[in-house]
Amino acid sequence: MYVSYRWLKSLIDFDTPADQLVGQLTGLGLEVVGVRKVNVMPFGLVIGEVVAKRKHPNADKLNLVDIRHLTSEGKEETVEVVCGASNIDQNQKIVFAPIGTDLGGWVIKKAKIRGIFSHGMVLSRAEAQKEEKSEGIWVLPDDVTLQDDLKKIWGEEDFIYDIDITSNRVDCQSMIGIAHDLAAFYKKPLNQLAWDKQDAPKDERLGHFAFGDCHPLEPYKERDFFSLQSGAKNVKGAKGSDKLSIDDKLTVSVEVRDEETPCYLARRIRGIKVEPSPLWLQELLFFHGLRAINNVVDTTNWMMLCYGQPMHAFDFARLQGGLVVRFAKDKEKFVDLRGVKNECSANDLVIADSKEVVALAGVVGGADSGVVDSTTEIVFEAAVFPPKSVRNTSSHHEISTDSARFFERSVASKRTAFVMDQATNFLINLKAASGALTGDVAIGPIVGKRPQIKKPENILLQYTQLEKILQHRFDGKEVADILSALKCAVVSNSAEKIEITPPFFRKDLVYEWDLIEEVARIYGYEKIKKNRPAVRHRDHHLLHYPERDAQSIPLSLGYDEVISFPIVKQDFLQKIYEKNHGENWKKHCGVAVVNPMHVDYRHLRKDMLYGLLKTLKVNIDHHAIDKAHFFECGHVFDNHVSSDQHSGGDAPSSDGYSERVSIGFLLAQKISNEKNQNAMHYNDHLFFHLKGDMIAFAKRFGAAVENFSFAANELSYSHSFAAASVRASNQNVGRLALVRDDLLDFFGLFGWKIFYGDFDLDAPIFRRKKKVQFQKSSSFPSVMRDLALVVNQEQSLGNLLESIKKSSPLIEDVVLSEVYSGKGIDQRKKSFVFRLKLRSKKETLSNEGADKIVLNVVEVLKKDYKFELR
Amino acid sequence: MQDEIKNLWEDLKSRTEKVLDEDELNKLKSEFVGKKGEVTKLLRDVGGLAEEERKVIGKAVNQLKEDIFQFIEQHRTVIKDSLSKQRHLADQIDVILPHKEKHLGFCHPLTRVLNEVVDFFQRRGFVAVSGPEIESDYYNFEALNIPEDHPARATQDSFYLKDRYLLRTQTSNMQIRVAEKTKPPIAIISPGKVFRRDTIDATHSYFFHQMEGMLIDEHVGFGDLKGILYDFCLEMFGDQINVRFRPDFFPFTEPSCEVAIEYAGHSEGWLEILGAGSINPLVLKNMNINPKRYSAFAFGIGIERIAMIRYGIDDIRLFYENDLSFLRQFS
Repeated sequence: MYVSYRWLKSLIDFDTPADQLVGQLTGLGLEVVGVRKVNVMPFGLVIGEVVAKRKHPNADKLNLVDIRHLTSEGKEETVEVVCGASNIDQNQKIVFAPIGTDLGGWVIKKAKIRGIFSHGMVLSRAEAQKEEKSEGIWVLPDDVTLQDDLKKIWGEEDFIYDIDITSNRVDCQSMIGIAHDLAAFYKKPLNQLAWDKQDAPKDERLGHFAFGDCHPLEPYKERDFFSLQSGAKNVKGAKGSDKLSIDDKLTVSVEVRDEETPCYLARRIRGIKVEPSPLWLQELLFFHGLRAINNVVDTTNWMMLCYGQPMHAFDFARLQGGLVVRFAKDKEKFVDLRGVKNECSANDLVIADSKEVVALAGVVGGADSGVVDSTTEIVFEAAVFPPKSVRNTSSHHEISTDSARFFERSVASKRTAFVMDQATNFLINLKAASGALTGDVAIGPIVGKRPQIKKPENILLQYTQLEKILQHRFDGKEVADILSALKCAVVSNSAEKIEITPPFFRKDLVYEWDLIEEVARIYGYEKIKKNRPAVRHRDHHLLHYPERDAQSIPLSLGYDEVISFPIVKQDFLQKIYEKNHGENWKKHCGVAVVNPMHVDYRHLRKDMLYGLLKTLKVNIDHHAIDKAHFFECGHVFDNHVSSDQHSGGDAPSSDGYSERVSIGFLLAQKISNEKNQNAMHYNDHLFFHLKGDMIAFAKRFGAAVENFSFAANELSYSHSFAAASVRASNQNVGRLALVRDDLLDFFGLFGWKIFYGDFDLDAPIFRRKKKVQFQKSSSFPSVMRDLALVVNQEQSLGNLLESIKKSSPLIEDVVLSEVYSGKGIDQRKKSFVFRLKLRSKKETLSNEGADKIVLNVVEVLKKDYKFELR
Repeated sequence: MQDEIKNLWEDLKSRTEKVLDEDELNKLKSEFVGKKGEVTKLLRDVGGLAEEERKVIGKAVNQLKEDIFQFIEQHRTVIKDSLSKQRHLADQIDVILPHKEKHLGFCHPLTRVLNEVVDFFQRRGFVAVSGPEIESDYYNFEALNIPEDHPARATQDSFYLKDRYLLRTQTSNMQIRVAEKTKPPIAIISPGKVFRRDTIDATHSYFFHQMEGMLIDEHVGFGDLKGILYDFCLEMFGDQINVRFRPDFFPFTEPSCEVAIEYAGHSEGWLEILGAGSINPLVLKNMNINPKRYSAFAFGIGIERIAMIRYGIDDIRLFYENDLSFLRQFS
């Protein structure tokens, strides 16, 4: 919403300079997001007179003109200027920029144009920053002399504030609303600047805005509503308006329910000459971000800015019969004023005449019914359409207009008739001012559907509640003053409570706390004292936030943290699932967004793989890395079908979806020597490094990792030969695998070996932290022994490790230190080398004692396993 | 016997000087002065001598023993010095050569900032809780006083799933969820991802991180909110800043405010940091909390915004690209 500083100042007596007003508006909740200085007159400009005009000898479209003007010393001077404007002519008074004038960073220099020197420039209004585009130069009135002060013609500088209005403050979606809020802040009345009243306006340029006989902050008086010349009574020079009998020719019928169009008013005005608005109005609209069209359209636009009430004007002669408010027929055609053909749906609220649709209600008017240069008789429309209907129509036809934006925010129907009168006055007075008013001006009555106006409900404010929330004790009078300044009518005020009736335009005031906010706002948020409360809580053991620990532990394992978009490209999912599910791959893609930003990116991640691979790709492309450790912790999603790969976790969101907190790890290495990779090197193999990192993570995270079991298990994204599930209490709680080459291909990562693993942090084993119980350690030293068992090549380790551990109470720990095949043993065999840590709680183990334990272990193992000793 | 002493001494000296390692030295030591050593034997023989002689010889043998100890220990030092010298031949280094790179993982800048934010509130007694990103219309909008057709919905254009579920547009969904699960007094923070259908550019992303905070107790007011959030701004941005509270609008709080900071001496103007307010009693009712007895405040902090201001990052997309040259700047 734009509003001018000078306009505000003309309505309210305040002294705050323009730059400081920014802070005060913002402090009221009317956030100023931009300030533009407008109508700045560049230093050095003078009034010039065209004393001679001749053709440029070298260019058809250029003229040479002699410009007479006063120099800064006050001497008369005539210079030759090359000018391209077609409207320049001898004896005109113009705005001249002599050499050296700085037009906001553009300094006028002596310049040769087609072989002839030009000594300055004649300005157009666009070059003066007074309109967007000019047809020619700016011609000043004839009675201007070189001695006149250009500044007086130019006008005062102004500041235009761009204010971001919050969605509750519909009333401030108008300049009058902003002015009003500011007046309440200053506790000053709004000045009435009716230009047609006896006292002349303070500023002619801003004063062409009238309250008429009613104030915009009062509800429009019932008695004036349908009276014939309500709008015409102040018209100077308009004759015969009381004899008007054109009302019977304009019929308006509203064929939709009340809530679909609560108010629809129209009025005929005859004797209008469509012409450009006076320059001051054109300028004002331009400064407020609107384009001047003609006096009629400009009137409706200016009213919209002033009062937040959009209006429309029809050409009466181009309407066939009366106006009807109805829903469009399905596929009904409508050509809008841009000339675009639209096809309506039955949901579109429209205005039609007896023949066709003439406007999409509240959005845009039609090409064949709008005001044109030849129009002499207009119909003003001022109505209230519901936000939802306007939003639907506007988005269905993809037409975004100022009018639609106002309606989408909602419009106060109580002011509609008032604004209709204002518009009538305004337009007639524009004509009167331009001297083009003739005797046949006739103003019809306001016809149509009047709004059902309900009296706003009274609101009670308890002072104890006010004090409790704002933590400040207010005086009863202070509260009454603030609320009265906001045009609330105080019904009663006691030591305990105050009762008020809110003004009709403040639909947002309904509850007690709405008043608390108003008091705080006008009193000033900044003045409310800061406290440091005692923070108490209970039941916090019910709350769970696993991410904090999960995100810190992998850092110490050397993994870099990644945060990626939790959405996976569909092609990638196709590649994953097509392999095992063929044409049914789509069923396995997980949760899909109905309205994605892009059709290819609609599925929520089921795991962290996609984001981690993408990150790897980005970094390989940017940096010549040959290995990488990444992790990401976040939510993963699936449709609520129990999948063999996922635990389902805690499933916080109900019904059709499951959502889990997951942490994914990626360990990647560029393959440098293909041959070496084929041999099974237990100590070097990245799979076991990833496994080790994941176990270390889980341990530090507090999970009882001794309850983990691993099972070879092909995963959708893995090669069949190197993939495992992590299980605990009969649930899959994690996975780790070598990622399929064709998936790496998708990212151009072929030639890399990439291992991916993840844990479901919502699984009970991660949620129930392991209980720590202190155990006294033995004071006797431990002894290490190696045990090498030779087994068949295809023999899995299985439970061997656990069996060894269980075979003697003196074994404190067992680790697999090597898996060996090669020199020294049969090709079909391999050797598991275990390192046993032996310790007694009673004595220092002797060498012989330790050897004996190992022999015992071998004996125990022989019962269940086939092996040879090495 | 004097000769024997002398011979032993000479023998020890010459043999010791040839010894190069400690084990051998220990062996030699026990050969001479151990339980069965030569000097011990000699000492035993002294017992058989006559009184006069015993006095003189005994003294001499004891002296010998002491000398041997000393000599061996001296030689031990020599051996160790020489070993040490050999061992450290390779350690005669140029200490100016660069260090060897060790790699600890890098914490994502958003996590870093989030952790600082979480820490601030945890120190003040707030408890962290994580919440769902797939949310129902009820928790995300309706219960928060944002009915269908409320203009606030238009500013939070959502990603919809089937059956009136959506990706949450704000972490405020946790206000209702926590209040349903626990009883007042409640003091929680809830960090997480939120989603809005915004086209990605330097300052917008269709997903970003927020942290919701909520305090419900018997006398919670706007001054409490101001105090905590004021301290928060100072902790995050240093005490050389100005903090501004201005009225704003959120359907689920009233009075509502926006908090902005301004660096003293910088011309960037006011930077919006977060939105907050006293929880609207209509929302408290949806939580089954009696607004007559309890009052509450809530706030929502944009984590990206704080990180961008803190680190001077001008493009939000950098956070999600995860380029190592970016990530590794925040160690």
